Amino acid sequence: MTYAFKRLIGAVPLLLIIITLAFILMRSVPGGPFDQDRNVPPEIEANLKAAYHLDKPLYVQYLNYLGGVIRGDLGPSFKYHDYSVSQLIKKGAPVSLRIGGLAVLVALILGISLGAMAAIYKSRLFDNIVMGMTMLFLAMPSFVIAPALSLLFAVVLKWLPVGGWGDTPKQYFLPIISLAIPQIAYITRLVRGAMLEVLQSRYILFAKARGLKAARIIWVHAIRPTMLPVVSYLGPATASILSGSIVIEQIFSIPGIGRYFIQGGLNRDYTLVLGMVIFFGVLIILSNLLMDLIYSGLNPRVDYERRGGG
Amino acid sequence: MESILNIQDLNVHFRTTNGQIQAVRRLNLFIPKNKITGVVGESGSGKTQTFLSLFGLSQASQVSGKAEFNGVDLLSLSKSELNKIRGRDISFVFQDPMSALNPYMNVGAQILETILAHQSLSKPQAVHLAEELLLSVKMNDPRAVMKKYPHQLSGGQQQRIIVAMAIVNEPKLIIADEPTTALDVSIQAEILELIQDIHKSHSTSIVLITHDLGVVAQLCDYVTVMYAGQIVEQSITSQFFSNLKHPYSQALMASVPKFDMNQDDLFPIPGQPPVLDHEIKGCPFAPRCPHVMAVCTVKEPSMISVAPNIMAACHLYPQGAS
Amino acid sequence: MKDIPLSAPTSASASVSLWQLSLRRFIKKPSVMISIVVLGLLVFIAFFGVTISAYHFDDVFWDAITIGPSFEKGHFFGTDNNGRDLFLRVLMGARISILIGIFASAVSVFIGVSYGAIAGYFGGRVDGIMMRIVDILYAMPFIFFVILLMVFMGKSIYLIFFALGAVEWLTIARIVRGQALTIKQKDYITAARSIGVPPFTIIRRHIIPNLLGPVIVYMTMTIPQTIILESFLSFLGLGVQEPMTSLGVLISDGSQQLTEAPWLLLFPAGTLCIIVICLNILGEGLRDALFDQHLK
Repeated sequence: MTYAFKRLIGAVPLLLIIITLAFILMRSVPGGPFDQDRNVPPEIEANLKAAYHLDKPLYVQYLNYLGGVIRGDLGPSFKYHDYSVSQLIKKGAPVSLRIGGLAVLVALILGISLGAMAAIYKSRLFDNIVMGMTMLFLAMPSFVIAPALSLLFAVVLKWLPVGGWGDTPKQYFLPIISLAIPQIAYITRLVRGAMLEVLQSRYILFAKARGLKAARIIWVHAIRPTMLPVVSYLGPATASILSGSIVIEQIFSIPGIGRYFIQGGLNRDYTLVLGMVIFFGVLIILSNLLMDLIYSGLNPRVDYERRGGG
Repeated sequence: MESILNIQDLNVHFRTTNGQIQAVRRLNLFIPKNKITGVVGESGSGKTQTFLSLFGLSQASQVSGKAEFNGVDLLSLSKSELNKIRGRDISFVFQDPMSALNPYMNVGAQILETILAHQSLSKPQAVHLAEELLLSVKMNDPRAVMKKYPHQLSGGQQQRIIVAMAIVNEPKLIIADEPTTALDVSIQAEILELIQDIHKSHSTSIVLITHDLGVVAQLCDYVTVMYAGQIVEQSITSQFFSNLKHPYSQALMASVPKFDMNQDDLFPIPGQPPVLDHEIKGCPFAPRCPHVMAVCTVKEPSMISVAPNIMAACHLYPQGAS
Repeated sequence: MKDIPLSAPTSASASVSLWQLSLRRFIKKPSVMISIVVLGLLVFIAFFGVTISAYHFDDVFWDAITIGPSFEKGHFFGTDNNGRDLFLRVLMGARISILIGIFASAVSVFIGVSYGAIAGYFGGRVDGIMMRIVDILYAMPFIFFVILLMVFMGKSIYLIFFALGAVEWLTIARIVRGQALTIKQKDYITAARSIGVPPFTIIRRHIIPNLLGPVIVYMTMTIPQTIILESFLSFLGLGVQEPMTSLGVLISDGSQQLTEAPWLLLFPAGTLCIIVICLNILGEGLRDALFDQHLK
């Protein structure tokens, strides 16, 4: 528990860097929200003044911004006049997190089982097919898979709805699969490689020499070390799924936070885009932290070294 | 004499990126029952591969021949039949205990799964058996030991646990592959003593693969010398050291440092063992042999009895009709 | 047993033949051979086909607006809703995507190799601090910063090079640092240091050339990633801007007219996938040939 706490404290500077960088960017851009010659509606202008005390020195403004972030106040949106950035995020986040979470889950389940099977049947037909498919899907980013799947299943076959959200569970299918496919391909390859390496190790040979059943050797002995690289990949995977969800939400017209990011960017809605960056930053840092804890839970040696036993 | 394992004409081939390697070639070997047999030879002579391949544990591309173990031909068994024999009738002790134990599981779980794979016991019974077993290999406080992970134990303790796993199902044969090489000298003696105790109390047949002739002299009833994937000499230990027959055995002995010796008295074997990627004509030791004759490079010598209780494959001794 | 040397010490000529051996093993794989041919053909057409064509990729065919693929009319991939020939546009897009991929990867390799070599060579405290920075950057939501950069700084193609390069250099820095640490231990480096060759000369003359293998492999593997990232940015409207085009721009256009004109999506998407697959196969093939000497 103290370890988890320590790691949490360790993440604070990282967050601070992200927020600071975001603040600097916001301040230094010509035509930005704090520029004198910008074109901002008067009510926003008033809100900004109130929120950031623009008449005060720079460090006071920075501290104010920081204080706002800590309180969960990311400022008013430029475009959506009636909303604050925090409100917009609060509205969209549950939808995005559900899609993203389900995509991670699907990717893990399929990736681990396919990868393990491919390793077990190395160089046989099953392995070759799986490896060929992953090679193909690694080359297909979400923004290619999503319209292609939508063309096939929604336009041509008419099995699934083209987009939308909240009317029928069928609407989950395409976005989640589109998000998951590149991750499935990556995790499959990761698991296959790791499993092959583990299966070469002496303790697997010794387990065989003791007459243990093949299923036990794979799913009890080999699976844990195989999971380690997968767990470390989950941090980057979260980032990748988050960025993927931006386009997926646009393609399937899903009311998540991803589309705010795009619209914010195209509309030059600075506070919104910055708020999103900070929100995504927090999500990624938290997921990295979680993965770290799972990793040390899986690996008894990490635990040992950490307690100063060695 | 009765055999526990009788190998005939064993061939083990590996496929590599550079072609096929014949790790074991036309090997015949007789392992006597209730005895300790030492198998010696340089690294790469095929001693480990011989035993791993018999029990379906090697990555060889091809294993052929006959190997009668306890009345059945091992090489005719299916994978699942072999799996039943492994760990129950035959068990292994490996060289490096740290890498043989799964670092992600506590040792108790690994002992218990070995028991439960072959004996129909309840979990508490298995735990009880495991604890008794650990005491018998002189591990104190077995309950605490079982909760530990391999890295929390010393090399000697790890190897004791491996030995415990090897005897837990009361096997007929134990194959100990360099069981002490990775350990400190002081601990080596303890482990060897443990193996000897097991042999005495259960009269288990043991194959001891080693490159340490000292260990052979101390522990083994019989000695087998391997070179280039074949047996070149087989002998009873009591006569082996006083009556070395094969030039390779003699060379091996001469290359062992002893403490009453000068540096100048050390005789490393000249040359290198052959690369086994092609068929070898004649005796594989011929290029390094001080007694090499014309016939040696043409005809492969066969194993013949050269003295009572000693067999060797060498043209120095009259080859008879074969 | 006795320590018998297995082979003569590696000489310069032996290392050349080792390279040749790896190269031969690399070429011998059918998948690698096919990838080389396909990619070579694609690059050739994309770079010379567009140039020698009678039409410009931007020319409008007023008599052929949004028509499907047709050989009679000479529009192999069809035309878009502005009457522009998709075949020419895909070739142009492929050219831009490949160029961005190569240049941005070159930027990331340059940053990564210099950074990693310095950290690895100096080791100790310097290494610790430099690698800690890499660790921190790894945990950053970088792609979002790139988007931020594109939003704020305007959408220039040079900025894309720089932004993509800046994202991809972290992994190569780690790899190079690991290699540099190993190479540093070699006798010839000790020898060079003992006769007073300055550190940066050693890095430039001894360390970096020895990193060639991993760097080539990693660069081959980075290019497809960069191409995908560029397409992603272009898809969002933050990358390459009209009238210039790239595969990402074309895919983005195509996905908006999915029902009326599916070919507008399928051809650019297919081209992107083929390029990325070929590069991935080449990268993995190179890696296996150079580093994976396992029993097969």
